[in-house]
Amino acid sequence: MEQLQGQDLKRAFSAATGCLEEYRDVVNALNVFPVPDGDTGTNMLLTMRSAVQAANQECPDGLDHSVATVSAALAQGAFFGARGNSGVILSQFFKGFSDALAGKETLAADDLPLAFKLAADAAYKSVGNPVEGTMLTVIRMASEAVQEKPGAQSIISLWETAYQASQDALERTPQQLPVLREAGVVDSGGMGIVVLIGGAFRYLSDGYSTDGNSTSASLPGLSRFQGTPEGTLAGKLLGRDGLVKREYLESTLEREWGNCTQFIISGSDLDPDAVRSHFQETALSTVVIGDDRNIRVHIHVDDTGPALSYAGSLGDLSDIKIENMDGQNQTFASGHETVQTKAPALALALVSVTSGDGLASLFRESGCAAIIEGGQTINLSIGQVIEAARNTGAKDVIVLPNNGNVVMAAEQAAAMESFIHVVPSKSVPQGVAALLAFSPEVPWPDNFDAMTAALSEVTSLEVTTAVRGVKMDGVEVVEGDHIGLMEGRLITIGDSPEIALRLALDQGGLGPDAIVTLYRGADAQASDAETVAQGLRDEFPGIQVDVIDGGQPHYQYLASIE
Amino acid sequence: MTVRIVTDSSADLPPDLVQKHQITVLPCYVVVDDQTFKDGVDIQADEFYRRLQSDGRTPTTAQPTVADFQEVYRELVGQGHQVVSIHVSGKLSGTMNSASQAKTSLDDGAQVEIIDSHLASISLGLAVLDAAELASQGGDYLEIAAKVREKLPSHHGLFALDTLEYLQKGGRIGKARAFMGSILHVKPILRLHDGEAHPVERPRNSDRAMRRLVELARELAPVSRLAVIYSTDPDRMHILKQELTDLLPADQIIETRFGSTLGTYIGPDALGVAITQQTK
Repeated sequence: MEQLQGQDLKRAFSAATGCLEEYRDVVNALNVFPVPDGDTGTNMLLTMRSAVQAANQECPDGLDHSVATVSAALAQGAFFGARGNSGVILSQFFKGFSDALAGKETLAADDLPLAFKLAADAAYKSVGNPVEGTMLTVIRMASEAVQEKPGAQSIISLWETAYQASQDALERTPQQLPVLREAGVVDSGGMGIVVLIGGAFRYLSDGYSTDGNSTSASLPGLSRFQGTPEGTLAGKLLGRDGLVKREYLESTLEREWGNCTQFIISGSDLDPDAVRSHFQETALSTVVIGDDRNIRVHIHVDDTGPALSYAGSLGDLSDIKIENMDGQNQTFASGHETVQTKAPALALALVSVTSGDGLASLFRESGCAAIIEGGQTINLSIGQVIEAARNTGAKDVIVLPNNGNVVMAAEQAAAMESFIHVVPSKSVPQGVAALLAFSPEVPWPDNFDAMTAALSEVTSLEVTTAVRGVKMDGVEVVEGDHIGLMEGRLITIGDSPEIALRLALDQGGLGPDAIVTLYRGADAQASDAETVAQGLRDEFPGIQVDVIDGGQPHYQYLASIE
Repeated sequence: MTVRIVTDSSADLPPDLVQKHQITVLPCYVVVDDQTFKDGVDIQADEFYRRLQSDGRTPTTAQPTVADFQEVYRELVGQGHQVVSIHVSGKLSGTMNSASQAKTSLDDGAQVEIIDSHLASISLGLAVLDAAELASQGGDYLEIAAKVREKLPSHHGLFALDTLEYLQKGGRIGKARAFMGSILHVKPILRLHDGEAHPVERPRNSDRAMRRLVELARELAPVSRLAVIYSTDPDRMHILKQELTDLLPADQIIETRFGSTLGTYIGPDALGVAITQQTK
């Protein structure tokens, strides 16, 4: 096998794609950068699929095709199918590879050094500021290893050289890139490149015995990079549960907001360099590749409008993809139990005191910049309130204490720091009502007034278990009784939390178009809460009943009537 | 020589009014499941909303191309018309860009004036109707454009969405970001102001949202034009219209529907009110 035919090249990369399919999750798991660009493994795989599909279309099985045609089709397919930063860089690898093979009928060992060199050059050129320790380095090191080999090598041994060098380069990525070193992980895109080179190598070295589609479970030599076993590089980063270690995330979590935006500009006389420098000034994570007819752009911007307008003024846009990273960030952060990202420099921020995962997400998702864990039994210091308020970086901060016991600490914080304002919500339902009256565009005094006024628009109910016997508000309570409170006053006792809740709701006054919100505590079953809700809906057809998984401790239920 | 009015499909004008006033509407593009459609031409609202709510990829939109504008301008100018071209806010779309680029490529002497309405949807539609009415009364295209511009601040748009999810997915959430609230299923109300959609309120259910929409609309009385608009539920639009008949008689209230361009961001079960305030 001294010369590769076009079909050989196509099948080799088809096999490599199959291999990446196997390793997709491994590569995804290595992608510890909390700045979500989708998942590296998936992005590279989608790019490769597009490359191979184009090659299959252009050069169907059973016919002879030149390596020039096949590699050009691969490059074209990768370009139009590129996903994410990693996919864009990968597509340039193929562009360079195919430039080197232009006009070639077959690929000889002598052709490989130039192919790898141009591939590496093109990959570097696609990125505004190339960073070492990434897939770029892995590509370059593989290329350099191939350059250094003396001429008379066979294609297979050169490919093996590239594979070996790419593994070595991958192993060194943590030493080159501090974030990887801190995490003790190898670069995910680099891993993807190793898998691709390895997959092609395995196909070539197995001779022509496979059809290019079958893959076995693992490539030789790669287990050291992958998976969760402790002791491997990835294992050091990943906790025993396979999740990324919290300390790492907290130390590196970037405040990325906005939209990962990708598109292709098609036209004539396009200038990729000018487009790249435009977006380097106006966007983040800029990757721009292409030629005078087609340019692929990958950027992160807060507002996609101006970016698309600029691009649209140059030519026709296609393959537009916009992914919101706020949502991804939140999904990522919650999946990894890490800290919440914050928006940059707000004029006015909300800080809410609450406990329970569900309530924390509710307040956060509805506009709070920060949540302080606290409430009934967790005494909050004034310092905690001030610190949380200060960390928002906002000019003014409105604090929602959401508990009668916390109001005082919050008000003392406000007395010490003039930028802190307290809307004295004594319960979660009051806090939610105030939150919904918040308008991000209005100055703080107006918000303060509107939010304070909203406090009285809800009736707050609580259901808990009495921790000791006491006579309270004229009612004799025995330890273990399920008690219902309205605005903090004991109003009812029930045989179960659900009965106490229902009795309390009945006393709360259910008007014909009331909105009842039940916040289910950590100790209450979803089915029990739903039974109460359904009972209300059946009995009062006009009212709206929402059940929310609040997850709060101590209180089986919190409820509001508006 | 007559003045012709050009706009884009994000104006959500009902077809009968487009025809009546001889308005040229350039379709925006909407990409659904990797297929590109011309808004209102190759894809109709029913089909679009069905696909929007299916599991496919989030649709995206694109402004009419420079070439699209060139073709329209050249044709109208070639027929001896002057053109006033009024478009969706430049802060929300690149349509203004395409239009301006196309204008620069025209021959010297082509009488085309382009206006950034700072509006969107049927609020833009109302400004376009203003222009069409002025054009029918005669006058020079620059005079008409000046009058249209002067009147832009009297057009208002209020929209009650079922969810901000589509706005967010489409990358147009902008200033409404801190206004989510999907856990509580709030129904956000947005107002057009300075060319962008600003969050106003977030009622807890759609009945209260409609009530607030009506109240906010009444604050803008007296009105000279009024339109109601829906994405997927015409019955609720009719209720909304009925509620607004104290502002304008029912037969003068325009009924229309969010096309696929606006629909991409505004999503299903949305309602809106567009108002032109009376000026002295």
